Amino acid sequence: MEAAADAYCCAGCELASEIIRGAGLERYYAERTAYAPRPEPLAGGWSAVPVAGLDDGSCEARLMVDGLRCASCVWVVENILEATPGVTLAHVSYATGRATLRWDPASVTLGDIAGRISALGYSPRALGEESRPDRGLMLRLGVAAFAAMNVMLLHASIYTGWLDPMEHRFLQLFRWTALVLSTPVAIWCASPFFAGAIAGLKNRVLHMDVPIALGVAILYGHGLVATLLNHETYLDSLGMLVALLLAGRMLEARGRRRAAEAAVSLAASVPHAARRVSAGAVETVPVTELGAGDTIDVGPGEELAADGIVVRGRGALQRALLTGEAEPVSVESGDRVEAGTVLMDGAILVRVLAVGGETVLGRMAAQLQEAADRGSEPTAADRIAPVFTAATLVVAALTFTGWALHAGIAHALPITVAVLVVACPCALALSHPLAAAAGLGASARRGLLFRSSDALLGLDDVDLVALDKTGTVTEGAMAVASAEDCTLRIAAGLERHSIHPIARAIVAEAARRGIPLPAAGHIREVPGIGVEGTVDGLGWRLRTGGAGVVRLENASGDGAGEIRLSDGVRRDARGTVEALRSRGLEVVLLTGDHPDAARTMADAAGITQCVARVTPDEKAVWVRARRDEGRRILFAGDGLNDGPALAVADVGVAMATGAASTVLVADGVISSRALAPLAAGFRAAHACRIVIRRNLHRSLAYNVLAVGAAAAGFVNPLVAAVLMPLSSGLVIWGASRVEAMVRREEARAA
Amino acid sequence: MNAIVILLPIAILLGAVFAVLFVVAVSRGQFDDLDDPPRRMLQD
Repeated sequence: MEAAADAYCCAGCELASEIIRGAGLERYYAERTAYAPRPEPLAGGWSAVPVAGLDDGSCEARLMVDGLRCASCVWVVENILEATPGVTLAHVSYATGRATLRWDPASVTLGDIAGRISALGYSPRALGEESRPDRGLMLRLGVAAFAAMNVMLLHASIYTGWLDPMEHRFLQLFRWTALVLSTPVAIWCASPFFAGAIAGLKNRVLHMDVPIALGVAILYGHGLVATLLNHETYLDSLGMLVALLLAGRMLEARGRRRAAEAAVSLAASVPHAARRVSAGAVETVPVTELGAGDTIDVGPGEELAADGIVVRGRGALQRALLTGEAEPVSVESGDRVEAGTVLMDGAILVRVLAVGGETVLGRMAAQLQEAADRGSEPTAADRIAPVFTAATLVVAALTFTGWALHAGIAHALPITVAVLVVACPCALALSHPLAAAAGLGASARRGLLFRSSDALLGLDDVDLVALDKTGTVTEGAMAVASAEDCTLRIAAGLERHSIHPIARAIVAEAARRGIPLPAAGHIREVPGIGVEGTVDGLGWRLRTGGAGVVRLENASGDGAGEIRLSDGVRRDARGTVEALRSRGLEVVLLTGDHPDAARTMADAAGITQCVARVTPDEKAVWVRARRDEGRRILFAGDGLNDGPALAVADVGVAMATGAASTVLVADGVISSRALAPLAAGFRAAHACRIVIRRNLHRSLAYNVLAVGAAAAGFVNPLVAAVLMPLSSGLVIWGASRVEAMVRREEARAA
Repeated sequence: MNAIVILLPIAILLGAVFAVLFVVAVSRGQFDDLDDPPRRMLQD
């Protein structure tokens, strides 16, 4: 992200940015993938968290909650907090880890609530602080891998000892060493699974952690007893199992952290300071000190910090953040202006009507935020977990009874242990996160970033694609459509120093045609009208003539030529629409524009259906109506006015170049200036869905076969040590096929 | 075969030394950001 497009939070950041630029390090902004870590939370603790007072006397605040592992964790936190006296609302978003809390300050404090969250085993922190990478997970993985490899070597010696029996004391040495090495693995490395299982059991939720914890406990418990009794152990399987599961969990956490960081980085877009005019003096004050009735001064190129009415001056205002339309509109005394819009030229004095959350932008952002805090579905593996656990226990009980009656308890015990060991759902637990990570990666590499794997998989069910026009199907920026060279030359001379988007388009077109820019003098920008000056000794005026036309006039006001500008269709729009249609998807263009303009644009992009003249609310209504008809709909848009439609669509995709707040509400973001990533996303989603289903089938098939073999008495530690990595390997290999499947589809489409 | 009795603890100890080094590296934050450093290298 280029800092030029950013608002600085304070003068210090601006200075730091200047130093970075000055040192020629601009690429830091373009190439950083994460924001630099911030210092530790304030010493003041929870008192530093902004708390909003509500009308009924209660307080509201938002916190981040780290350590949410699954949808049931969210359930746990919400229910425990709502059972706490004084807490009236606790809403936790799994996707973002953000908790919205409402409480009665008379009976409980935010510190108490945060304490309760900590007591549940999660880490609350103030919103906006960077999440720390989970070092504990990395440490556990490292220790588990170290121990697993050593134990595996020791067991390899033990297994070869079956062919060429070794002395008893060496066998003892190997077994005891393996036990010592496995102890930290079972107790410390596997503790996240035990914590998850206990939290789940307390709340009567059987998720994936329960059968895993059961498996680990049985492996280690059996290892301990068997070592004491000089029997064979399964400790090599234990280390491998824990290491693989931790690796899967780490991949998952990494994907979620990146998505959360992307959302946080785009959240702040309104400037934090404004120039207040009081009694003739101008002072710079933070937005928080601004109130209704104040007058603020806004200069060219500046962003408005508050909603208000223009009391003096005129200028061209770009409302892209609100409307998604890049073309500025002229404003003068008496016009309403909104926070977040940018004054492209001119200068205005604005009487403030609303600041912060009361502004149009603030209210919309709050709505979008609510929509963004949607929960997440438990995965297929989580849904299977209860049945799986129950089935395992039943089979184990049957095996034990059967063998005990048939051959006695001494014979039945090791066979029952073997059943419980091979039933441990390692491959099942890995089947979803690995394939999802591969799918998210394949999609991200092609320019479409998804917030969660749920959103990516939702793409595969979509049968209707609705595209916003400006900024999505089109470039979203003005380009010269037609102009004569001599007109363009003079216009470019007049506009060469302007930052207005039309001016930039004219200068860019002149450069593209290789026209040298003439020297211009006496350039004067007439706010809201255009620019005048002299070129080649003659006076000229460039006047904006309404929709997409700029007129060049000579000194006496006669027309000398005109330049037509239009917002061009993206180069890859037609190809993308074709690719989508070849997948059996229906494509519709949704726009607030005139039907004729919409038709022209739709034809250029190869879209047959278009719905024109719809307001932002009507877009959302239209999307909802299609959903009610049973369609699964994807909506792609870039303006803040597309927010409601993005939120109600099954899958909402925002353009990273569009309004910042849409990115918050969308499920996915196209990171490049193109439409093609959309088609790539559909391919990745399809491949991901197939692989997840295949992985699920494979791991379940393994479990059924292995449990069957174990119940029949065919499984010993060596067989288990071969079978378990084999099943996990199958799942890992399956996940690695996602990228290859996407490539194959691309080759077929090309 | 008796050498094993001495060699095994030595091998495990050596491995443990590396495990401890790994723990130190993680706790000093060397594994916190696995995405940026490889790119930074390409920029120089």
